[in-house]
Amino acid sequence: MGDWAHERIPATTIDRQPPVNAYEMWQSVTAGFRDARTWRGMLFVVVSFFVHLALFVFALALLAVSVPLVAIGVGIPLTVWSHAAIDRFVGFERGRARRLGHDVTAPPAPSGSMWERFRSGSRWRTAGLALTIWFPTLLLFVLLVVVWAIPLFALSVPIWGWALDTPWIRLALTALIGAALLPLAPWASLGIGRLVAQLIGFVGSRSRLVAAEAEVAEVSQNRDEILTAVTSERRRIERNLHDGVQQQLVALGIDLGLAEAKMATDPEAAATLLADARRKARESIGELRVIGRGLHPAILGDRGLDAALSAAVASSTVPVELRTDLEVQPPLDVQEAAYFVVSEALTNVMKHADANLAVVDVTTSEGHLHVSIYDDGKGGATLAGTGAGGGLSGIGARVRGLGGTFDLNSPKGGPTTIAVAIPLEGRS
Amino acid sequence: MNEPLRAVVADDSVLLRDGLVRLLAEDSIEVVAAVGDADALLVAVDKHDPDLAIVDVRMPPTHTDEGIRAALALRTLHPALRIVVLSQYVEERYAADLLAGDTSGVGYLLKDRVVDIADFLASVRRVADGGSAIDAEVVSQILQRTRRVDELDRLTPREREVLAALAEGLSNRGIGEKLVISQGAVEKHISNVFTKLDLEPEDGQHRRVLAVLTYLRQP
Repeated sequence: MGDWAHERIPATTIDRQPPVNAYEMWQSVTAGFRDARTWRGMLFVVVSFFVHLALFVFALALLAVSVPLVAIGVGIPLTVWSHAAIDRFVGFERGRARRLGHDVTAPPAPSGSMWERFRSGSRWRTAGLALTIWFPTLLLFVLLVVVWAIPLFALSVPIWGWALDTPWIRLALTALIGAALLPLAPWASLGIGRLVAQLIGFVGSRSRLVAAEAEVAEVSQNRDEILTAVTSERRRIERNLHDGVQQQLVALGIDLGLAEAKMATDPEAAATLLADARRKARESIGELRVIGRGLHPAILGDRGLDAALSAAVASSTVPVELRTDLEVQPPLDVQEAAYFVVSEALTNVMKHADANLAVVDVTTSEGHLHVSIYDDGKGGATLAGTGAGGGLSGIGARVRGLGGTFDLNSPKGGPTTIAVAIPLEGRS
Repeated sequence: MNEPLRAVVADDSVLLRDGLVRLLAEDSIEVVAAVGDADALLVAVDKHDPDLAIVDVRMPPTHTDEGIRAALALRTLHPALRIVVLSQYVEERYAADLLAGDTSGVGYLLKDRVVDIADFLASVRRVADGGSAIDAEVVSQILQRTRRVDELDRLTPREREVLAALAEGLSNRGIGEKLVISQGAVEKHISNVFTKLDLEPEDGQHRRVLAVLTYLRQP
């Protein structure tokens, strides 16, 4: 039933060549009647009229009973039930709209307490739709009837008109007008059918609102995930500073203090202490560099993703094969996310996987940056709390925050694959 | 030479543990056990019955206030044990927990203080002798948050310095050295502070600290 609504009418029937003989003329005038699409379109309008009428009566009856009862409480579960029933009915229309080629997504069924379900915006919208869609359908149905009734009535006038003593010339003229108008009826029917299809497609446009709502919900969930990831990241940095560098500096200070105290009495011991202190200073600097790199890999800005990945791979204790194929340089935030995906994944490989080999593959294609990290280790990696500060789940949140996808496949016994795709041009 | 003491050190950083062991050895404080977490600390104290415990606030598993909780447990289990708690940063709430009861034989110091070896060892000795050692940072936070600002305004700047030194747990001599004033002047300032703030004159050093802290924290 769906194909006619979007099909272009073949050029042969629209851009008609001037008819050369009576037969071709007859052919072209009657083409609309012989075209199955005309009758299917009309059937579609008639079916829609009755479906929408039934939907209207159904929704009105349910809501007229349940909504007033809200006053005494019973109405709330009753309304929720009515909404579900109406939604099921509208689902039938969604199916038809889809078959007509409209992109219609059903809103997710509301969840939570009875009250939250009662208040669900998408359900009330669906109910509103069920109550109103009948009116435009009715108008279009009437229009369809009129489009056929006028020429048919005009044609029928001579049959009963002579009985009323009407002058034959008027009868003939009326019949002629009817005969002229009748070939237009199929085209008008097809147009009306399209309008009804558009109307049902409107179910889809309504649902796009719902889709937008769902996206907002997803975005806000992503935001929450990012906030959590940021917090745990900050906690990790704070811990690295307080438990790492600060401790080292205190230990270094002790060495210096002791050296100072021994300088006069035991210069040899003091020299040893100073050497210790120097070593600790060097270690602290190294530690600070690691923490700094964890905050933002400076090499990304200087040399780009390729160089940063080489550096990340070089510091791995597990042999890593790095393959990069970047047709374009991704935006900096995408590069940074990719860098952290790789370095966090490799950290996990080193710490937990017991692997002999890892393969990092970074490519751009179809508007996305694809990153995959494979290792032949023992698998069993999870998103929960691997590594300091949430590890993989943290970078998962980061990737999703950029509108990307994050997949972890790590069966017990291995191997482990992490596949990430991030859109190059912001959120889709 | 000071009286030899036996101590247990609890800190999850091996580096710092080693540093502390060497440092304490300078003052003939023998470290009989150096451990990395609170549970091991409780076990070590039970086993060695030391005079002194030096405890890091942040230790595994949660790296929050394990040290404080261990210290409070030790205060109950081993009332004679002297405890110095070391903290990466000033957290008045930790100090308040620790100093809520008796401040005798308790210290709460920033880790940075360890680097000033002589001062640190003096603080440790003060705690070992039953006194208290409260970090100047903590004291200044308490002074800032006290609701008794009006009453403190009655003190001269010098008297306020003496009050802060009192709260840190310093002895009269320590206060004199810190502020570079004579013993007589210290005694005079202290008696002025106690009079102006309507505090009972206290003899014992830790009781003085207690009086001052209690006064400052009272609403």
